[in-house]
Amino acid sequence: MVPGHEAASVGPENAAATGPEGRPHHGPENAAATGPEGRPHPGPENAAATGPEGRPHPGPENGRGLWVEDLSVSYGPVRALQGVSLRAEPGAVTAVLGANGAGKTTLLRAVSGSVRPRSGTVRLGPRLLTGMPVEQVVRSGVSYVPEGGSVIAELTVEENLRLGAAWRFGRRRSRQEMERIYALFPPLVASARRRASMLSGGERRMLALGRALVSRPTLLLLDEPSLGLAPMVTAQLMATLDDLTRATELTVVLVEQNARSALSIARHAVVLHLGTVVAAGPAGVVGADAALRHHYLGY
Amino acid sequence: MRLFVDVTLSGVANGMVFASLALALVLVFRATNVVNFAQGAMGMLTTFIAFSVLEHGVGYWVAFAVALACGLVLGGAVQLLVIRPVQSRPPLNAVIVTFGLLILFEGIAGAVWGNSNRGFPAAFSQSGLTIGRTKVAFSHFDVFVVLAVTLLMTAMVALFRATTLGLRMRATAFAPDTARLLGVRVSRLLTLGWALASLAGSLAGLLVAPTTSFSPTFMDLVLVYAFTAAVVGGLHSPPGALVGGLVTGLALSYVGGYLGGALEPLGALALLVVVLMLRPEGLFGAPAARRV
Repeated sequence: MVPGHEAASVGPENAAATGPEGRPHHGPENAAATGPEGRPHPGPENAAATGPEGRPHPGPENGRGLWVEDLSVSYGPVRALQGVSLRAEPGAVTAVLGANGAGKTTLLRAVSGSVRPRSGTVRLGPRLLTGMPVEQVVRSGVSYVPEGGSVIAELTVEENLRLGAAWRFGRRRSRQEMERIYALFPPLVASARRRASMLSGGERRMLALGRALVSRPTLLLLDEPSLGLAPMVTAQLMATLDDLTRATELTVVLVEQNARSALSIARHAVVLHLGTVVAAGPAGVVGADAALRHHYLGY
Repeated sequence: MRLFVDVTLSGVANGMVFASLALALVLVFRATNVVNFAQGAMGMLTTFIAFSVLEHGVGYWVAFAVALACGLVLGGAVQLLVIRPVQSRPPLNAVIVTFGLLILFEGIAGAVWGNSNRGFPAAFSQSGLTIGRTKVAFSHFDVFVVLAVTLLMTAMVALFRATTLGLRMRATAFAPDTARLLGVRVSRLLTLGWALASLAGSLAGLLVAPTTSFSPTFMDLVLVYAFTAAVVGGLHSPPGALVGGLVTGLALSYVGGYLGGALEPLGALALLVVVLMLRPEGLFGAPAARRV
């Protein structure tokens, strides 16, 4: 935990060795609860651009960010994910790419706790997320924006935002955080008292993203935020995301079919195909690999 | 003209009681898509508890408060112990379970208190008020009924619209999966929703008991009318429960006053059929297509 970082670090890293209610964690993480001192992490630069070898190891001494290790998820007899591993660093966007049915959404659902994996682990910093119910994962500092955004149509923009902040902050602080979101997404100000059902598609997406950010999460999971949006709106959204990630040390996992726009702001990229990782590496390397793009990314 | 005034006033008083029980049905339905057919019987049970408390010489208002508190507890307990286990199944299962509870609660009441008709004391005089020189069919007790239900509804509105807890409960009712993604403890709030609904049902029981023959089945007909009221107003709409209650109360009162009391149940049925044919979503309901 880096002192002086005001943004996303308020939450879970402080909990470190003890869980949210002060109960000590099970597991070896207790030993190295503070900070990234110790062995420097292997880093995505060491991984090859193609092939899943060079999987970085999750280690308690690596401190923050997301570690997914050997995750397998099945929907009944259908294997949606098999042995997927992934590392998402704080202060960076990690893009998860691949065609329809590759398992990208399943990955996010498993990380958020919406679906229980058959095997494997998910760790956020020192905290083990696997097996926790969704509400608890969220309360550990994870914000998940599913495909389509899912704002609550019957509530107003204000109410949607307030709900996003409610689990963490009291009235006054929620108000401050909401102002921050309004500054980030000015079009929402005019619609603040309007029902969410009356917003345009782009505004709804902004609201969904704003609602995910208002609680100052540590980890942000985004499922195809550009889906159905005009190119200009997408570009704006990505730019906002990029700025935000750098400024607040947020860990972002960005699932996209629009590989180009995702790679433009990602530091690291993982390509899924039929439930397995077929490539992982720095975004630039993955984007430059023409064969990879043709086979798995469609351009 | 006199008849019209009297019938209207008594329709309002009855309508408020229906509104209270209809509110209970609506709160449960919009959160869980289950019509709690045992809602009336639960109100009956808590009213009988008040009856026993009164028999021990305790003051009326203490018994009143005890009944309401038992309503809260009973509602929460039923959701936790009986409804939660069947929640993941088709909603029809839960509805049938509530029918079972209805029979169970009436059986328990019969076993503990007996099935004979009794009298339940009223907090206020039930003889008509005198306005000017005319006596109207609206008593102190009726005034109390209107005030009590208005107070309950106001409190509910305040809870839902002005508090964070209320916001969470609305989110739970409208979009439980999304609410979970926002850290809302949906399961707990569903239990709380049932508890509050049961509170409204208990109030209805206490308000009906003095006006009718007090036996384990005294809420049966009230439930039918409250269900009609909820459908008329819109099964997802709390304000609809109030309006639906008043509409139903007035309609039944007119039918009873002008056509004869025996036709009241038919009147309710006719109202139900008309609403379902012309505007099935209810007066305040949004037409079918929900979330995309």
